[in-house]
Amino acid sequence: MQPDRVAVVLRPRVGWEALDLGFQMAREWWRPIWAVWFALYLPVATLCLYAFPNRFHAILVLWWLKPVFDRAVLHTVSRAVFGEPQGVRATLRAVREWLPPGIVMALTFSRLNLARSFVLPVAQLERQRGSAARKRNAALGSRMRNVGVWLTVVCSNLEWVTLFGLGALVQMLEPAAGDPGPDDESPDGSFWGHFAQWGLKEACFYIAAVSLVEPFYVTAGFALYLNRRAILEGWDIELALRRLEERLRASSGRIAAVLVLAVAAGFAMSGTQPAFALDDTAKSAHDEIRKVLASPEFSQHKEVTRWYYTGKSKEETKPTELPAFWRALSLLFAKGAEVFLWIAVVLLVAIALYYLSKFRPEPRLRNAPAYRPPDALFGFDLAPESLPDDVAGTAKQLARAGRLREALSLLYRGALSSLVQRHHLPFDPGDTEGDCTLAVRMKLPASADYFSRLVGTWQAMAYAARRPDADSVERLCDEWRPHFSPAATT
Amino acid sequence: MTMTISEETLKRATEAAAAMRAQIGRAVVGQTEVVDQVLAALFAGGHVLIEGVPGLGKTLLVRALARTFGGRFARIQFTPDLMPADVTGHTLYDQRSAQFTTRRGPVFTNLLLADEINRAPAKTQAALLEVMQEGQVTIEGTSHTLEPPFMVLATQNPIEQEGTYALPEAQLDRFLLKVKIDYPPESEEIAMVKQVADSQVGEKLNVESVAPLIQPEAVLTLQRVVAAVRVDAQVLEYAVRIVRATRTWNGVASGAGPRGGIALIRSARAAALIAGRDFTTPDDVKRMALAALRHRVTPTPEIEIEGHSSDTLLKGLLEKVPAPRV
Repeated sequence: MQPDRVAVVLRPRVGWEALDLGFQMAREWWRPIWAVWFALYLPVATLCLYAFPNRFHAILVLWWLKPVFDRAVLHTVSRAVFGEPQGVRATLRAVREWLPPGIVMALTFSRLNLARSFVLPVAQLERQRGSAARKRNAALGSRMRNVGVWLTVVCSNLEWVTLFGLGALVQMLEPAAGDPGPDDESPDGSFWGHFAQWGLKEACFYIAAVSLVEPFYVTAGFALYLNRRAILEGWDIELALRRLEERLRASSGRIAAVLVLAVAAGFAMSGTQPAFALDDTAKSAHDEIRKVLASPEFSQHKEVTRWYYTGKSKEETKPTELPAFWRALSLLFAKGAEVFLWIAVVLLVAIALYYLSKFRPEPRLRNAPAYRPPDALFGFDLAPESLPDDVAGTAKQLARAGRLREALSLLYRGALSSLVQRHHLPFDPGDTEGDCTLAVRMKLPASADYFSRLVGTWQAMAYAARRPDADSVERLCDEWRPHFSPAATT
Repeated sequence: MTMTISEETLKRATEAAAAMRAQIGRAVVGQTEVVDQVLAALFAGGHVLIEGVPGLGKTLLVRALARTFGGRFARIQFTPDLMPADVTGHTLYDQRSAQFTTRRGPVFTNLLLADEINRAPAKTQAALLEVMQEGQVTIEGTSHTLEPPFMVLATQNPIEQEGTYALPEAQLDRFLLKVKIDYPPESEEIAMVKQVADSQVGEKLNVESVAPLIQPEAVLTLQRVVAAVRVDAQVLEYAVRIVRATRTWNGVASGAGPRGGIALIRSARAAALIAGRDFTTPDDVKRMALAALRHRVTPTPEIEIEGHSSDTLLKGLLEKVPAPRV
């Protein structure tokens, strides 16, 4: 291929942009492309439709033969790109040139290649076969194959969309077409059954859809291929150099003479033999080239993509010197901020220490005064001083005097005082008599029965205004001592 | 109190309550607190909303309770398409007799189990709640009084909220108690599984072992006895103090109204009778406070987000509200 004869602007493009270029190419040379396409495709399609009574089979064969028609399109568009546009006749006459290379593979193993149009030029234009073709495909496809695959996916979808769109359009416009009747159902109700029922109309829709999309597909694949090669082989650079050369050649012969003289003078002054080039045979030059190419610099080719910083370098962003006044001001601020930060650190440490000391229980417990039970609870004065020394004896006297309520109250108060002061039972303001009984049952099981009896009697008197009999109160007084008197051991 | 309870009446009433409790215990293993609360609601003449995950014996409890006093029992499974007429009843034109006949709905019973009440739309819920409040049903302009005792036990499931119609606060207020059934402890569960699975075909709830003890009329007597249980001024004040505290308590969006206090005292009376007393103590009030108030207290959203319920709030409140001391 000769890049200088290429009719499109070659420059490194991203894959998607290359596809755009392909579509543009198809529109540019639409006459020869579609002429060749229809010249080949329509006869074959007619033949297939005629040969296969089942239209679906005809469509299947047409689908299978797509690579054959693709080649004709590629031949046309490649000639056009390289400045040799060919007509239908010339293309058909050159069938031996474009059809045979790799057609067997294209119709068998490579038929389902997902990047079909992208790899087609390798077989058809470069005529690579076997492992060479595989290597070439790998080299070309290393970064662009995915775009080629997406092209196939999009184009095949486009084909189906076109097909169904045409079908729907005709269905809408057809006056006879009404609701789908029972005839529209497939005989066996299966997916394939519907296809087996395809008639001439549907087949024509398929042919139209493929005819619309396929040339675009081939040219876009070709453009992708061209772009990949332009990147790999630096075609754009080569073109630029050639243009430079042409410009030089076109300029006056005087410059050329001066250049020749200058070069000759340069050689003369360098002290080398003027016959330097003449001494070397073609063979030695070849050896030299091989040696150079064998050196490590040429033995590997690796493409690396990475981000790099394109902004200003550090030297460029170096701050300019501030005037003395601003420097002093900023220094003042800096110093102030430093002092402020130090104060903040000290404060934070102080707060942390404070909370640490507050929530660390041990040192406080050690220094804490011993548990001091409340003197009053539930509105009762529970301080030992407020109670008589002999609670039970006093209560009994009150009971005998008929003051049963006072007697019971004294007993109850004395018991509670004992529980709070001596046994350190913690009571909440919301604790009812039942809760107190439960607490006693947990802490002093031996006294629980007595206490619940006492509380029961007390409750009956307090909440039911039921006067207990004097005997039971006296009994409670007698039994009080072993449980709650200060002398009692529990 | 105007009416006093004689020793004999108290004894008989207490015995009847204890016997009913024991009989229910033969069918419902464990859950003694729940049984007590449901019994208290029955004696107080109130209705109960039972909340618990499926399979904890809610239906069994209600059937066993109905059997103990030989009352009639009906069950309505609330569904989104249940209509008010399906609950209360309707009139039909009988072509043969050329007259309108009234078909009474399932509410004409003694014990009504409204299963999954929050599955029915608001109008159906409202129809039932009206019956609960008024004690009578109006069908085609004619009022039919329900035969007492009438008690509704509604259940709802706390875990499934999709496709449910939450009961509005105003309607929740109609329930005397909201009882929560939780999973039983291991020992009770073992006993329960053994009882149901042993020598029985299928998993049908067996209430055959529950003996009918009293007549529905006796329940009315029990309710009258409960109404006569003495409530000391101190206890009454304690209950009101608790209810008032719910309105100002930290974390409560809306507290209980006066009806909460009334419910609390009514249920505390019944609890006292079940405990064998003819007077209430602060303990009775405290014991029933959670069930009587939990559906009347709405926690603030912040508290709910933190994972606390009205139960947590009420427990904290009960610890702090001073109990009466004489």
